[in-house]
Amino acid sequence: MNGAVFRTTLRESARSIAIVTLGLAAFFYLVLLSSSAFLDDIFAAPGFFRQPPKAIEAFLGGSANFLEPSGWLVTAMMHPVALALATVAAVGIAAGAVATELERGSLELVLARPVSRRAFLLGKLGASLVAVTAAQAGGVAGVLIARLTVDRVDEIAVADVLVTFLGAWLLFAAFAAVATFFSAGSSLRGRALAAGVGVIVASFFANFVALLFDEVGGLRYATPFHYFRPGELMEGSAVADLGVLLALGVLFTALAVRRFQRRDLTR
Amino acid sequence: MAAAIEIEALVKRFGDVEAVRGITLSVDEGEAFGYLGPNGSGKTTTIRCLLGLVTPTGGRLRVRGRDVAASLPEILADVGYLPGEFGLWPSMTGAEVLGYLGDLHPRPPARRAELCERFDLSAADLGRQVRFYSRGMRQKIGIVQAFQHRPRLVVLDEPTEGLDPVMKDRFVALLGEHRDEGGTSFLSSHILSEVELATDRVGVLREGELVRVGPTRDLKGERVRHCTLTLRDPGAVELDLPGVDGLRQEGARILFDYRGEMGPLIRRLAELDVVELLAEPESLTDAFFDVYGDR
Repeated sequence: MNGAVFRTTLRESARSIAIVTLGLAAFFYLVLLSSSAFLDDIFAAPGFFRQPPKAIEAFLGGSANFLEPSGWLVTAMMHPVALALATVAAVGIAAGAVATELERGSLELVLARPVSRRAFLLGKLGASLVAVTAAQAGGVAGVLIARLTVDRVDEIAVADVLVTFLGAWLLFAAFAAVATFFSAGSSLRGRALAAGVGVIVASFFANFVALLFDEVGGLRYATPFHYFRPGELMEGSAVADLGVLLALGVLFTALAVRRFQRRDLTR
Repeated sequence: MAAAIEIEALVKRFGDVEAVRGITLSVDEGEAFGYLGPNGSGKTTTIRCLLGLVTPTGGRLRVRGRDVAASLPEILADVGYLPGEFGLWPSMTGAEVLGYLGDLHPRPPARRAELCERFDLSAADLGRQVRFYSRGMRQKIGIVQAFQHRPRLVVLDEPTEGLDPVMKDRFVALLGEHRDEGGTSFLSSHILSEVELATDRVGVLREGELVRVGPTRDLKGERVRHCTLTLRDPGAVELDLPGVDGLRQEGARILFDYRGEMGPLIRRLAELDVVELLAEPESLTDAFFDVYGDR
């Protein structure tokens, strides 16, 4: 990994990383704060909350429990706002790793120096992973603040919070590697960005459909979202599945490097 | 003398398009070489192959005795490169850009301060974000980054684009110093005056083929100027002067090509009531084709 590329990319993206981090911190805190209102009178909660429909469970990754603090956290993690913010962190830098530099015309200035393409790309991916880490750390901070200030949120063990966010980190780190792969072969940032975001949306949709309809249930194994099940992670199961996300990230990193090393750098 | 650049039977195809067709060329250490040709003739593709940015379809490239395919990092450690069209990082200041590009190089940017001063890049200029820079300012940053680490070989693609005449003169002087210190220059340009002043030999490309290589001095005295003469009283004008060709009149303007020393033409025009005279030198590429009659 090239240190100068890594540092410069981070400096260029510092503001957007900070905004996403604060956004996720605020979002997790607000979800936990508002969810605690359900507990005022559990038995008066509408049936929808006591036994959510299958579609809602599928939408939230397979389980929905609005009456327990751990369920609120699952809801927050699979909420489209949280997923969108985490997607921005994962894809924002990664999709531009090569494509933006090539489109802008700055890549030649860098690679006409003794900087290997692998070191350059890993520097960019390293900066992407910092963005993913910062975003998830923002989420952790929001939950930890909620533990101190919102009723019953302290029932979620800190270890459970950390393992859940580790899962989210691995999921979005893998997506960052996928976006880097698209960028490595593209000369247009818009195209690489669309491909990266498209993969995330398609994966989410495929997982949702697979959980909703038994006929296509097997489809879920083909989506990275299947290997990130926050509810089960907090129960101590599904931890081994995180290895799949790790392997996916490593695989797409290797593919991205290979693709970048073999291509001509022309606009 | 050892060769700084050796290109042997270079071929580069992009899909069905053959951008470079079997170029063979050698540039000596310490030589300043001009690489000429119209847009799309293969100049930039050759340069990109030379710097490992593009993989050749066929042929071999060596820089300072090293094979480009096998020893690229070692080669690039000795090269300064200014691309023809380049962009900078818009949120960075000029100083940060130079710092970043300097950090990517193993050698210290020993000449940075001196070059910034020479090209009138003040501390205030360098402290501004490059997105506010003019084309000329960006070009100055491009020149400084190419020379700041004292490279042995500079590869420059249209280096004076956007520079004002004073800065162009300073750039030509910089190239002269680089040559005097034993450095090699590979200069792709279409501006006759700077190539004449800054190079020893030129090669002319056409449609991906190297059609001519020869000493730059062969061109001097042969250059054609495209002249536009505006007269206060445009009656029938005869310019019965050796070197005048293609004379035609468009209203008050008289257009012609002129080959040779300017003195006789100016003396003849002094007899007329001239409002304006524009005498634009043709490109070196055109001059080369004129010299060799290969159009």
